[in-house]
Amino acid sequence: MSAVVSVKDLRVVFGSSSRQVQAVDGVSFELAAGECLALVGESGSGKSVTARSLMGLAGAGATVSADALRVNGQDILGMRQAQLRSIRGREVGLILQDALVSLDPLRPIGREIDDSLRLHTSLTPSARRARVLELLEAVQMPEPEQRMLQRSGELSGGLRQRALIASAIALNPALLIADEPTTALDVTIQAQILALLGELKDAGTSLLLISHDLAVVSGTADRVAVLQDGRIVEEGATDQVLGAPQHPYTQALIAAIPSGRARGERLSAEPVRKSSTLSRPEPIASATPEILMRASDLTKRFQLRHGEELLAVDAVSLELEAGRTLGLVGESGSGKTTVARMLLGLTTPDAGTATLLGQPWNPLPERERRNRRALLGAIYQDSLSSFDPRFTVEQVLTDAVTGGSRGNAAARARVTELLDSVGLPSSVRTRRPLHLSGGQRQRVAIARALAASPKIIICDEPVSALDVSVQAQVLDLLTDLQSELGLSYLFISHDLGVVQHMSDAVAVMRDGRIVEHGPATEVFDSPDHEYTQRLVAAAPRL
Amino acid sequence: MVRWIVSRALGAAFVLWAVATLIFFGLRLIPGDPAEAILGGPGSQASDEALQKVRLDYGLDQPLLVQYVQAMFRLLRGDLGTSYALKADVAALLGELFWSTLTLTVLSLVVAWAFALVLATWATRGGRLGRMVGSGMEIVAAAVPHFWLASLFILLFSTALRWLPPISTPGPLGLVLPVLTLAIPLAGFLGQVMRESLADALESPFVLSARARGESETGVRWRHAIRHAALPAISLSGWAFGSLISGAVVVETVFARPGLGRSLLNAVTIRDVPMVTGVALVSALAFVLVTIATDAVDRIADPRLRAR
Amino acid sequence: MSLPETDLAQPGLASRPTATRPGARVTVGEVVAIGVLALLALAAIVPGLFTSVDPLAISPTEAFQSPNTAHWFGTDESGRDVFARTIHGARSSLLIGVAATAIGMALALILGVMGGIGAKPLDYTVTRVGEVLFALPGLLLALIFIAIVGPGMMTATVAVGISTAPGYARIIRSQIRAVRTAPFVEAATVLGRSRFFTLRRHILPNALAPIFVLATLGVGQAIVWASSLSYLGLGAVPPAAEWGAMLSAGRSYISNAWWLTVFPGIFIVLAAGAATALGRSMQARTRQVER
Repeated sequence: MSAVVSVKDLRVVFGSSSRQVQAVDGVSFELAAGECLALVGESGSGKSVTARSLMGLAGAGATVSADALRVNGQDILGMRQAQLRSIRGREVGLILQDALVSLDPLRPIGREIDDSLRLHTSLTPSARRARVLELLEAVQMPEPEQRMLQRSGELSGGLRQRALIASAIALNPALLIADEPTTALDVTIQAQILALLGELKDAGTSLLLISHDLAVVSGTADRVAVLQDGRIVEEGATDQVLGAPQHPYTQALIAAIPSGRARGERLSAEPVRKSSTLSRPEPIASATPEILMRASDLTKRFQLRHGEELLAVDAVSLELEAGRTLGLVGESGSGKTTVARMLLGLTTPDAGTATLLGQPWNPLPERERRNRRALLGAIYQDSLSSFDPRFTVEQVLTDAVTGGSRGNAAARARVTELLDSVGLPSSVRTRRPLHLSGGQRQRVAIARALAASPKIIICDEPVSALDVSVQAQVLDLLTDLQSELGLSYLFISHDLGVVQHMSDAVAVMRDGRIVEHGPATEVFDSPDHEYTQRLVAAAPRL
Repeated sequence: MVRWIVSRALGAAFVLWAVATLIFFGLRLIPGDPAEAILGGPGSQASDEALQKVRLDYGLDQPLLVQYVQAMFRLLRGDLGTSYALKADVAALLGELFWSTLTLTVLSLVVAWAFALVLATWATRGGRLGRMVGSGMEIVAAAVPHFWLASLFILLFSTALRWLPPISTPGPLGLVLPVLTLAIPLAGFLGQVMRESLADALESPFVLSARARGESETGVRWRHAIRHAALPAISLSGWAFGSLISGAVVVETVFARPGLGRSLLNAVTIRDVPMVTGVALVSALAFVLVTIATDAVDRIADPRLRAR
Repeated sequence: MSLPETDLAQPGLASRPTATRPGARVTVGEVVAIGVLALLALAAIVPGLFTSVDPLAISPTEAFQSPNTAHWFGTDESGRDVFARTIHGARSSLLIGVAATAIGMALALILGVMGGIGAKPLDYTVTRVGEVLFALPGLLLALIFIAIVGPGMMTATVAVGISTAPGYARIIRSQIRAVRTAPFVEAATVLGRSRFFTLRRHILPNALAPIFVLATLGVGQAIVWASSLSYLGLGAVPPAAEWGAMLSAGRSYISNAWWLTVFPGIFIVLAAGAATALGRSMQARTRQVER
């Protein structure tokens, strides 16, 4: 049986002769009908460019060459624009990442789905409308007649993505390319969308699934190809590649995944940093660690437009123990960040209190809190926006060390100490955070948080924006720092695998409430609450 | 939607009241005796009786606050007073002037939009030349004064080519040069704004999705990108109308076209307080109404705004 | 045509605060713009470098000469050398442009900072004041001011300044408001900084960083507006050598002495255009960094 997709030695170069970027450097693979191949790699690996070249959409300024580039027997390379347009949508469909921006926000989704029908068929408008309804039912969209008149912004994340899928399968294409189709979705919704894609595959559509997440693709893909720097370094059946990886890069990628890894186990191969010269606050005491921060029945309401009220946090209580990590896990909108902000004293609760080392902390006038702020540090998902855009790394850290006044020799020495403890070379001092990589920025953020020798660090999605291998390094760093300095962490994430690996105790949040909490191993291995059970079941695993 | 219109209308009423108050007290600061000004200025050597009569007629002998309240009530009735210089009812004078200026400005806005759309789509077509034209457009638009552009047009079309009259004659032909003078600089600016948002839209994920469905370049532009590109220009149209009113002062003067702008200039030069007040209020009213209208269009065009 | 002062038109200004990228290459456009401005500034300071003719010297027998080798830009109705007048006009035009912008910026800073850092009631009041001033767009506010105070170069300068102030104030205010809620300001709170410290060290420097760009753009706009007022007879008046006034005088002779209109106008466009080009390219640089 001839392959639906046949790629031999694909090369894609961007840019003119003076400045070229080799995005894809000799990629070859085949895809049969009804088969799912996953292209897995980190950012810059060339996986998206490879897939889009199959539609002639590699991007502006791209030079595409290959020995063979065939979809359903047709040669893509030789095609002119008109021919390419005729196969797009008809023989190949594309599903992009975030339907909020991948569907025209100003047009009703019914129109977006109708487009393919309008462009490639000669059906009458009423016939097209019937087909659109059929498609919406095929993707399990509830109330399709009402939904087709709504815009992507009016639908929830999962429904939007279904609409996007409907627009891609409108003409029953032989090949469906899904480029990170679930990255923007909550984990339970992600599972549903992956199941939907699986059903399409079973019905005969070939699926090219692109992701940075090995665990996500493991359930749906028949074969996996791992890309690094524009080349395929390993390819094979899913079970084989994930169970017995041959190439060191694949092995490192799999080793970096935190799900199922024990507390304290190293995820990355990063060499041990210069041992930290930061002084420990005090030695870890006995088996019952001191409770540093206690939140009791914290509640917060927000006023929305038209007088509606949102109960963001509903009577949340938790405790942060010295030297231990409390993981706070929940999907988007569960209230985790609002809890963090209340613990940091950035938001005042409407009810409930928080205490720090036994003394009142929130609600309290800021001036009575200010001198204790050194006890708390914070790192965020988007650390770049937490730095003053005018500052260099040196200025950021000096500012944190001196409390705002000018730096002196002692301050400079301390900055050096901080950089060493997070494994950053001195060369980053003069650079701006904007020009650092994501992992480096997080390290600077950690260094800043450590500047005042805190006892607690609040981490709000600190690794969610990082590539898997970089994520592993940062998680290892946080673990090391905790054992060296006896830090207490509140670790917030939507990623169950990360939380499980990092936490001693876990609290699960949903719609502002904590539905379950306890030791991490117990909560994840044998969850009590139905919601936790659903989360754990939906979490992708290898 | 209705609630929104009502709240905007109330806001507009407040603004107009504030403008009227500002102008009333501001113009009272003009040095000299208003009664004298009415009778023809300091050189008129009016008799004391004449002055006293004028004061009674115009209520100038009352305390300032009383005058203010009386003026506000008259405004509500639509009475804008009598022009010092022209000795005629201001409201009546303004009626025709208003339509003349309105025609000029609205037509200029429409023409500017048309030019801007053409410029924006053209500038996003060709790579480097397009970008240079794009940024050049806006700089030229900002730097060319209306009065110079008008003079150049007169030189070209009236003196050299003799196609069009140098002075605005009633009828469509007399509108051509004034409208072009106002529209072209505005088109340069709106075109730049549209070009930028068009370029942004063309790189967005939903356009990629459209292309992936087999949509042609033309289809991508006109079915998807243009609407996004037009949004910021719609938002700006309220401000644009204001700048057209401002430009009308110069353009009406250069082309000797009757209108609010030219009348304001004359009134300011001879300090005809009722005229100045009347023209300023009517202009403010027109501007505020147009701003509400463009905001309404904005909300219709971009449903995302309705959720705010 | 004046620039809009709404933050909508300058999205790069009213959004995230920016940092200039060091070492980005200077473009041809920027070099040209700076060169033009430098030449004009030179003409304003030392006009003698470019012409030795007295701009006010009347010579009735030489009236209405078209451009020739003796008079590069021709002569006007009183025989004065147009080139000399144009060169000398640089001083008044540039001075008015800069002065008006300074006045406008000063007012805008006061209003904008009050609205930006003040409590809700103060902000509300300042915004309403701005709205009211906005209702008299562009030249209208300037004309009202001139109606009260009387015409003249000084009043025209102040009038232009007052007219531009509300627009800049609105931008400044929204910049400050945007920066106030930025994550790095919250990070400063977490680090234990006082509100005043954060204001001084983080909020104001970041929010007011675009001022320089705004001012550069503003000078271009002010030059156009000021010359417009002179053209209408409300600013500088002939025989002063000011570009707008020269065009006003030349208006009556437009059909037989085109050079009286064309040359001073070209200089207005050059001055305003160079300032605007420079301002826009500075703006583009800071915006590039964000992308």
